[in-house]
Amino acid sequence: MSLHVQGIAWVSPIARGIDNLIAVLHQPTKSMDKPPLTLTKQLRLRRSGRISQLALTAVMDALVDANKEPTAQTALIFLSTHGGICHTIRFFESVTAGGTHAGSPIFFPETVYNAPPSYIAAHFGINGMVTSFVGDSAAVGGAICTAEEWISTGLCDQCIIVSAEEIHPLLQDAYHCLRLGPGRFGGAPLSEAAAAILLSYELKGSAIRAHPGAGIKKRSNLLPVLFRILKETAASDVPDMILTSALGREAQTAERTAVAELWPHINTLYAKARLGESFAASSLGAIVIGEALLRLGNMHSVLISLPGGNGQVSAVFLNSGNLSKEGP
Amino acid sequence: MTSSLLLQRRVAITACGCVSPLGIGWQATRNALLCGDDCVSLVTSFDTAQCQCKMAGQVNDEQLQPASSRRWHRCSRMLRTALEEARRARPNFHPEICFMATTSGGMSFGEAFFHRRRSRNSSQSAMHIAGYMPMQPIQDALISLDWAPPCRIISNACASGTNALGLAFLAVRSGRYRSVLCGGYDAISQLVFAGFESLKVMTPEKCRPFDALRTGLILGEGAAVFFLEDLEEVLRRGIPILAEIAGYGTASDNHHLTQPHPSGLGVRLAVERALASAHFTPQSIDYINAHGTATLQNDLSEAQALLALLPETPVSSTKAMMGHALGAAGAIEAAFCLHALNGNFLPPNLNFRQGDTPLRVVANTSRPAKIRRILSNSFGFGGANACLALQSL
Repeated sequence: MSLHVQGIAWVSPIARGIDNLIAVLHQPTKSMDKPPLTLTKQLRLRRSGRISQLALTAVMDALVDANKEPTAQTALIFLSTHGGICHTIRFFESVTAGGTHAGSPIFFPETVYNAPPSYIAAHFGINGMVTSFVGDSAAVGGAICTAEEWISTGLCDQCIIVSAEEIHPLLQDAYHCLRLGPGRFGGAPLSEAAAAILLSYELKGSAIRAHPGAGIKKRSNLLPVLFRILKETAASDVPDMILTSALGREAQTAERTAVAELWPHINTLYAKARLGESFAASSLGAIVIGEALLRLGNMHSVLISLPGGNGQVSAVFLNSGNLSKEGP
Repeated sequence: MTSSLLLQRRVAITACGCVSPLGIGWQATRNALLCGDDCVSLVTSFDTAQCQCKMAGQVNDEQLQPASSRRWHRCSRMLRTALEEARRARPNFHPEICFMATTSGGMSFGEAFFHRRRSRNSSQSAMHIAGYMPMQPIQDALISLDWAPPCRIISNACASGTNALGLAFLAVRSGRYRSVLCGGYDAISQLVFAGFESLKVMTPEKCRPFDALRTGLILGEGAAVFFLEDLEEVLRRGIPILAEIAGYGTASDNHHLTQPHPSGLGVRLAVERALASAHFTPQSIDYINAHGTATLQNDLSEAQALLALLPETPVSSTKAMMGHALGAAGAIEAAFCLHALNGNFLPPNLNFRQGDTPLRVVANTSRPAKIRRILSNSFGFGGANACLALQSL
């Protein structure tokens, strides 16, 4: 039995909503001419970090897209690479300025990685399986595998996966130190964003399967491991398009080499060039984009490549028909 | 649901490695638990002169495995040390997947980067950034052992450790995996210390879980890892078993970001779900390792829930001995539960004078007891509640 994508959402300054997202991908030159992003306003969120607002907005949009409401049996998986980094830095600034005893209590609670899902769970009354994963793009594969494990064993009947990132100049600085990012490093500018998908066994939307992933012992292993994972994830299905998600440098090179060897004539979309770099949210966003493209009816399947920057690799396959029985 | 139950595998713990303020390794940890050692000491790595609390449970770095690289964080060393201990007990184990818990990862590296950038000092910045990421310490430790399984890093505040063990348990129970590595790690950092100080939940004196005059928590650190395997396969191969993870329950109480529901609603749900998952009756539980942070709200809400469900079961919080290790707490306390199961003793709840509830606290000294089934609780910010059910075979 395959997991299916019931609803999707994308929230970022460049685009909010699936129609806007597709329009931006088609017309990138107009992507910067956007009004400020309007996020959901809830009383509970009055002191929250922007990441929580982004995440809750995305979940709300995904549920509207799915035309569903969460139930007591709904599970929630939140995924982030950097978490509430703005509040973390603001809190540490107060500590640095005043001493260990002088940190602001307003900021500290928002620094925990599971603050955003706690707001989401409270908003919808979800009291069951709620968890937060920390990771980069490859963690998206793990989150989908976890959702499938939970649904298949009856722990929940549907699962919301949401990823959100906020940005800060210090984060930009950090990635510059790592020689990653835009310009000469070949990556994309940072962008705050959130993506959400709703999964269940209901036969609606594209079938989805994720590779549980693998670790990389050293950089030279990236290409052969990525090659294997992409091949295993597609199995006997041949994707119509690849959505790539590498940040830059070796990961992008490995991605291009692996894809060229496996499917030399395949269409490739590097959405980050248009939407910016939002780490785990970008990768979950790639799944949103894949599902949105399949809904247009011009393609049957999409493969999302997830070579993380922290030594983990995964991939996800979407098919508007039935998935083959093979797969990871 | 019936078919899912029929397919459920049983889950064995075949090895454990533990690094905590109580000591490094099985024997040191056992001795400290039996003796009820107070392993809390003065914080020296950053200034606490004007803080309400100046103490923490800290790991002795001199006993840790050396770093394989100067890029390694202390968490990487703690994890490597714990993994080495587990591997010595179970040398042929190869994890198919890894579930690890942390709340702050390499936070002190992030602090160092912050200071360096503010002072416009760029040296070693890339090293600090790479090591700061929460998933980096476990990656470093695994690579040093030539392991590269897929990793899922759980960060559910102070419930993370129990969540990681619970998710690993579910992975084996589902039959999808036969050998799973799990655990948790966290290290003291100024940012996190300052965070709890800012909330005024740290004690200026002793950590006294469930005591009527308790004044707050003390932070700790450490790492614990476990090898989980399919129990029937392990029995067939004659591999020694430390204990069985029989059940897992989790609940979100949706009350407040930092405060538990005062009625203990989330605690109660998590415990009930763990009992149901394990097919245990409340009366069959021999010991509860409580979350017991010694804050007013946590201990009261936890006590209310436990009294409603398991009023006669002995309870202790080992946080009085070593502090609250946050994301690592659930994992370290599960290791303590293994000692209780294997050694047939109740770990002590230090610094206890008189309770404000009828909870049956194991006051101040360990005592022998026939122990077959244990519940281990962990609760965290964001209304995260988790409970693990363990039993000896």
